[in-house]
Amino acid sequence: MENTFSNHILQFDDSQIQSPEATPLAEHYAVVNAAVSIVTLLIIITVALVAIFQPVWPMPDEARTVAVYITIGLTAFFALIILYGYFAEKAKGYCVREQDITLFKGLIFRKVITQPICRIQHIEVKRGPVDRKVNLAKLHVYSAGDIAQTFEIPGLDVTLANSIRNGILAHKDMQHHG
Amino acid sequence: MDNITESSAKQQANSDIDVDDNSWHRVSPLAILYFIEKLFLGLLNNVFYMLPMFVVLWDEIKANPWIAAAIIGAIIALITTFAIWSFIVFRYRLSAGTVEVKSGIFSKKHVNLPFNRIQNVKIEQPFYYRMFNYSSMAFDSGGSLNQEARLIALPLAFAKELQNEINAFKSATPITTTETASFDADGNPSTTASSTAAVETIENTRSIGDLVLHGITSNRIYIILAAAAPFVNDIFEFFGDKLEGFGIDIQSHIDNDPMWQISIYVISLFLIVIGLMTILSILGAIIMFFGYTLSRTDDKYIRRSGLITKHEVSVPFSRIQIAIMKQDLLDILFGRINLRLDQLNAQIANANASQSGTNKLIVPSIFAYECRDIIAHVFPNHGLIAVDFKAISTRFIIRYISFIVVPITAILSYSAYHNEGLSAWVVLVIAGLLSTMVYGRWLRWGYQYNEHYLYIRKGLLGRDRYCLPIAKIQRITYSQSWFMRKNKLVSLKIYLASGSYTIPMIDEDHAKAIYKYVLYKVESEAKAWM
Repeated sequence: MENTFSNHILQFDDSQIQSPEATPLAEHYAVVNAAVSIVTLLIIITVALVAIFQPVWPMPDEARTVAVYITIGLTAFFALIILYGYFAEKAKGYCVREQDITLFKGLIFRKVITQPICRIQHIEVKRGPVDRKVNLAKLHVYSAGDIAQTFEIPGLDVTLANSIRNGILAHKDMQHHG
Repeated sequence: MDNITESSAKQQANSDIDVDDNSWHRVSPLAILYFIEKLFLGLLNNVFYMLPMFVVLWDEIKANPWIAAAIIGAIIALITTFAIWSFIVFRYRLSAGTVEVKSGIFSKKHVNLPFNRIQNVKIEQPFYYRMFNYSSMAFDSGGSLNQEARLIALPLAFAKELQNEINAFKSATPITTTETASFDADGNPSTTASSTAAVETIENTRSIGDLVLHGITSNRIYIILAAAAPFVNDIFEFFGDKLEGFGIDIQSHIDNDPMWQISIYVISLFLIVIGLMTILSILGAIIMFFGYTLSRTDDKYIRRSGLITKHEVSVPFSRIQIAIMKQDLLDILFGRINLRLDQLNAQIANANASQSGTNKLIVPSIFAYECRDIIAHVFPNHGLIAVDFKAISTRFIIRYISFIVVPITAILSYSAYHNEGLSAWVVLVIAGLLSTMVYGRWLRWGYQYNEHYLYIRKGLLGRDRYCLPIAKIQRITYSQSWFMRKNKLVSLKIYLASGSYTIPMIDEDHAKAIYKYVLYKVESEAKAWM
């Protein structure tokens, strides 16, 4: 596995906002993410269709027509959201520099979120059941005063996620406040 | 406070409890009052959810008042039982450098808090403790809610002694240690000794006049009005009926009286309502801030205030994340400022209702020079009063006009066109008003930075000015929409431990400079933020 861990020295004099350059997430991450959403959507559609057309408690015809339209409408809506989600996840990237870690995200609002390592309280590598199947992990970074918004880099190869975590934990400023 | 009660309380403290004897103690039975208050307030909060049930059962209750009385009696008995029970299971222990508290009937809680992890010691005196010269102590460990500890019903002198001991343990500076020692050696401590420190200087006090002004300018009663909004119809109907009962028929007045007379009725009614609200607000301000003193030691501010319950909050300078100068429209007219020094995230504190407000150090209705001096102890050379703010982009106006004002106006015009009731003038006035508000908001937005601080100004009628020490910033976000990219604009969001602060739509080059400088400063200095 190729090691994409970057550890550039920050050059303050000539650094630009682009200087933390976005490394894309694992290639299959956006696909997997979309696939999970599609499967979930399909299950919900199936349940809805079974409920509408089941013969045990038959619905009146009019109600059935309305229910079918609602199902179609919602399906189209969520399909669009999934499509959007696919491109949004594809647009995400990250960069680890010597002193900070940056997350790039957003299609309409493009955001560059930078977390100085000396302000990190703790750091977690999380893996859900799907992540475990496809060998991915999420890196959660916590600093003080951000209950509402955690800093999360999804779709990292698990060895990469672990090595980033270890690299950050080994940072001298993390040693200070343990 | 007179010396006799003070010393007797102290003697009692010494006979009852010794600070370091390593065994579990029970507190004074006065603690029961505290538990009753807590349970009662808890019940009161839940009454809100039970209201529908009462409404449904109202006829039943009216028919059988005895049952209702019995239920209330049972509730009171239950509260008392639980309060006594809570008191019985409540134990604390002070051993070398640690305070331990065991509490809880069903879910047992054992908090073990080493002195050096205690960030903040707060002494409170609810009125039922003040009568007996008792107090309760809250220990704040800085963050984790499960580690909050509270010692209740302690003699005031003992509480202060313990507070001193904890502070001495933490700082272990010679000054505080000798102070505590002299206090311990002194069999009959003087009031100066018991009020913690000779080094404590009073920075600010607030007179009743100031508080009245504070009540007038920061009218918090609107919140109550907003909550009452769903019942406005019922309230009006109720008063209409009542007035009719007195022989006043509003409807007939409206139908028969000339317009000017009706206007006078309306205006006087309005003035009466405003007057009542102001009086309530003044009362609120006095209850909250009565006897306000802000004292300062070498490294912290101590706020004491309260009419019914006396609060004492001490905030180390190092924990203050931001200074905010808040001014409502009236404050600007009177030249007063409400200063707020925030510590940790408000969300942490709000999760614990009884603690809300204690993470903020508020100094109500002070003058600019007082404000400047108070902030200067925390953030030296802050210059917040005299900052020359830079304006944000005028695109801000275009954005809000096109995304908020235009759609609202379109909907209103559409309904005005199809509906006789809505005059085109109303639509125009609303559109004009909204546009003015957007413009006013833009006018207030401002930002600036220097070597040590970042400044933000915002507001509409009022004006809030923020001073953020750059070295305490936790994280920064740089964001651009598609339109903003085309126009070379950026919004910055800055995270501190006290919350997040936005600077919207500023010049790209400035934003880059700020972004770079913030990261450089935070990362190169890596200073403690707490």
